Amino acid sequence: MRRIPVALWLAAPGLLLLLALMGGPVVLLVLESLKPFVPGSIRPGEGVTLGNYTELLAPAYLFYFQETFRFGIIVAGLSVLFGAPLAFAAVRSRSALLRKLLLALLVGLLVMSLIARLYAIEMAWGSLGPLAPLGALTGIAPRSPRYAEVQVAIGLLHFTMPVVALMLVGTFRALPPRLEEAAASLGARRSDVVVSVVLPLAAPGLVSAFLVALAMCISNFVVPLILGRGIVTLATSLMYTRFADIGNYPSGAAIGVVMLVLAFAVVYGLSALARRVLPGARL
Amino acid sequence: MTLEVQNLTRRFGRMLALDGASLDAGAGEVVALLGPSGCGKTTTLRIVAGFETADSGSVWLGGRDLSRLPPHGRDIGLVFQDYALFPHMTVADNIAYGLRRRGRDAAARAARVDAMLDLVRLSGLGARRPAQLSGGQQQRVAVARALAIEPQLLLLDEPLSNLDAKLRGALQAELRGILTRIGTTTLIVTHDQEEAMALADRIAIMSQGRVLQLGTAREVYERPACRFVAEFLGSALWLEGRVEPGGFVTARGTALACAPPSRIASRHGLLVRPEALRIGAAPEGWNALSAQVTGARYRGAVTLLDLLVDGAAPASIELERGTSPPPPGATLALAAAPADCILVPEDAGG
Repeated sequence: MRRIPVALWLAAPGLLLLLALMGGPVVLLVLESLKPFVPGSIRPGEGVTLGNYTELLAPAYLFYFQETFRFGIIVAGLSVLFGAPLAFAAVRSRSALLRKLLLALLVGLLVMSLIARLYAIEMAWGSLGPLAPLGALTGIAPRSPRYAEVQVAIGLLHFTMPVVALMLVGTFRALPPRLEEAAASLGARRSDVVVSVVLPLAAPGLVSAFLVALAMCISNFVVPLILGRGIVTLATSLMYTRFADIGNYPSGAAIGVVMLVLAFAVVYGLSALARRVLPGARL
Repeated sequence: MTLEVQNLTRRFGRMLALDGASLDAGAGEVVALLGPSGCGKTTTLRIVAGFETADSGSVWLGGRDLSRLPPHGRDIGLVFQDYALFPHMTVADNIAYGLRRRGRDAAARAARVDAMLDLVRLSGLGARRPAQLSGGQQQRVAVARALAIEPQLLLLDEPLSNLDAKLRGALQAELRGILTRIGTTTLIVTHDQEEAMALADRIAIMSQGRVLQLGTAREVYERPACRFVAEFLGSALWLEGRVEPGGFVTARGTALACAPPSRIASRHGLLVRPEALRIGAAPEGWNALSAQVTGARYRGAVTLLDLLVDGAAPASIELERGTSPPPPGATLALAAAPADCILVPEDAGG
C-alpha cells in the first residue's frame, strides 16, 4: 500500500474544512437548482430539470444580470480611479501627518458599519440632501426616479473604495522609491514619473483591486435594498425575492449558480485581457 | 562643471546627519566621498541630487545654485547602489528614458542609445529586459542611462558594492576608464577605501556629518589631517604622547625623532604605517620601539603578526614569507625611519 504523503495529512484539516464548510453549500445549491419547483410548497418536486435556467434567458431576467454587471464595472472602475491617488498619497506623501490621516480615514471607513454609511449617504446625497446638486452632475435629476441609480453607485463606491485603496497601499508600498527617484533624476516631472513608471509597475495590483471591487459589487445585496428604492434591483435582490418572498428555492439557486459562473467568466476574461494589454506585467 | 558643496547641515529628528559638510570638485574631476556607514555621505548625495533638502548650506554646480531646483531640473546623472533600472522597459528604453524627457527625436535617441551601449560594451543587448542581465551588466546599463543625458554631474552611490569581489576588480578598471573618457565631474559615495582610491582623483573622508579631509589618495593616506582619517584608511600604529622639541615622547616615555607637526593642534599623536615598521635593531638614526607579540593570523598570501607596541598601541605587521611567527608573549625590537613617523593632530581642525 502506498503511504499517504505527510503534506496531505497536514493539509487534510484545511481541505476538509474547505470542502464541508465552503464547498458543501455550493454543491447543494447546484443540486437544488436542478429540481422542479412546486408552487405553494417549499419542498421541491421529483426529477431533474433545466427549467430554472431556461426561464432566466427571458429578456426580463437578462436585464437583471446586465444591470448588476453594469453597476459592478462602473463602480469598480471608479473605486480604482479614486482609490489609487488616495493610496499613492498615503504611501508617498512627504507629510507623515497626511499619510497617517489618510490611512486612518480608510481604515475608519472600513470598520464603520455599512448600514450606517448607507443611511448617511441617503441623508447627504438623497433628493433633499445637501449633496444632491453634486449628484445632479451625473445628468440625472435628483427628483427623477432614476436618481436611485446614482445613490446605489455611491453606496457601492463607499463599500468598495476603502478596500481598493488599502489593497493599493500594499501595491504602492512594494514599489521601490528608488525607481521614482531615478526617473526624476533623468528629468521626469512628478506626473510623468507616475504615468511612465508607477502606473505600469502597479498595473497588476490595479487589476486585482478592480476585480475584487467588481466581486464585492455584484455580490452586494444591502446597498440596492436600502438605496435602490425598489427602482434599482440587481441580481442579488432577485435572488432574495426568490428564496425569501416566493419560496422558490430551485429558481433562487439557479440564479445563484448563474451569477457564480458569470462572475468567474468576467474575472477570467478581464485578467486575460489585462495580460494581453500589459505584456510586461506579471499578473 | 565645478561642484561646490558648502556647509551642509541636516537634522533627522534628534540625529545630526550633516554637521557643516563641505567639499568641492573641479571640472571633470572624480571625487569620492568615503566614510563609515552613518557618516552622512548618502545624505550629502541625496541633497546634491535633490531628494533631500539641507537645513542650511548650499550646493553650487557650475556657478548655479541648485538648492531650489527640483530633482528633475538639476541635470544630474545618478547611478543607484541597486541600479534602479526600470523593470518594465528594455535596456534601450531605460537608456533612452532621459532623452525622451528632453524631447530628442527617435533617430537621435537611437543613435545616443547605441553610443552609450558601445561605451559600456553592451552593444546588441538593447532589446533585453534588465532581469535578463547579470549584476555587472545591470550596473553598466545604469551607468549608460545616467550618462545618456550628458549630465553636468554624475553621482555614483556605492557603484560596485552589489557585485562579487572578482567582478568588482574588473568593473573598477572599466568604470575608471569610462569616467576618464567622458570627463564628467563625478561624485562617488562609497565605504570601500580601495574603490575610492581606484576610482577617484581626490577623496573626501567623512565622519559624523563632516568632511574631515579632502585630498588625493596619497595625501590622505600619507598626511592624514587627524586621527580618524589616519586610522580609517589602511591600518595604522597610533602612539599617544606629546610633542617635544625635535620629536615626540610616547606616554611610556619613549623618545622618537620625527618632523615637526604641520599644523598647530592641542594634541598630537604619532602615526606609523605598519608597512614602515622593520623587525630588528634600529639602524643609526632610526627610531627604536619595543613590541610584544599577541598573536599571528595566517592569511594565505601573508601572515599577519599582531603586536602591542610600546606597551599600549596595537598594530599588525606582515611577516616575511618563510619566517615562522614568534610565540605570543615574545618581545620584539622594531625600527622605523623618522621620515615614516608622522605627527597627526588628534582632532580635525574647526
